[in-house]
Amino acid sequence: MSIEAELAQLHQPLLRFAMMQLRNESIAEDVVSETFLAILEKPESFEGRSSLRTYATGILKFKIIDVIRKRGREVHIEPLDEQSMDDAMDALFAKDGHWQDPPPVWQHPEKSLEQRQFFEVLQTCVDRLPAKVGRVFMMREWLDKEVDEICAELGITSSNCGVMLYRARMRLRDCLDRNWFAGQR
Amino acid sequence: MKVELDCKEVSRLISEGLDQAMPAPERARLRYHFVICQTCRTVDEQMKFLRRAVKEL
Repeated sequence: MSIEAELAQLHQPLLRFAMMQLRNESIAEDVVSETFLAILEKPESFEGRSSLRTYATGILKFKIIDVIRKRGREVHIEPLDEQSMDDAMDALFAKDGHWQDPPPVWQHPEKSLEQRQFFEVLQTCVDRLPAKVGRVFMMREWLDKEVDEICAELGITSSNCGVMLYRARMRLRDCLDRNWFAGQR
Repeated sequence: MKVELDCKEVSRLISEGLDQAMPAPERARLRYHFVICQTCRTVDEQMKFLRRAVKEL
């Protein structure tokens, strides 16, 4: 398969990730296009070093970070609705602070990493996160940014950032439990 | 300082522990809770698995 054909197959997954981070379709299209151009201008830089997908993803991450950095404080994340967030979290726990319904054990979760369907479910769960929460979560876990960097780039406090990460992880844990691991019990 | 943590506090600390170093006294209380609570040990493992899975996306 030619490099152009391989890139065509990567367009949708890369665009989806760029959209999640940038929340702007035309800017997301731009960074994906710039990523492809960078690869096509110097195809010899890629050959044999890694899979094209890994290589393209690495370039895209840097381009997304550049855009976020340039926008700086223009990227505005509204404060969380603390009340509704607290209500959702409180529902998981009894009054004494213990689990309302103790989360069950996942059997051999590492085997899921070998299945494409698992990643489709995980992607759906990530896509379902509220926009601002999903964005902070993916900056932390997928772009490997430190909390301080995320706070600075998005203009939010570290405690707000911590709450969003906590909320994202709890929601994703629950989503995977219901939509993947429950079917394996 | 309250010695025993409840599961709600522990779930928050599990998440915090993925983002920053935890002071030794707090880490000790968390580990003590894991000794007495299988459910929170399970959630801790699931949160770590979740991080690994997202990196594979």
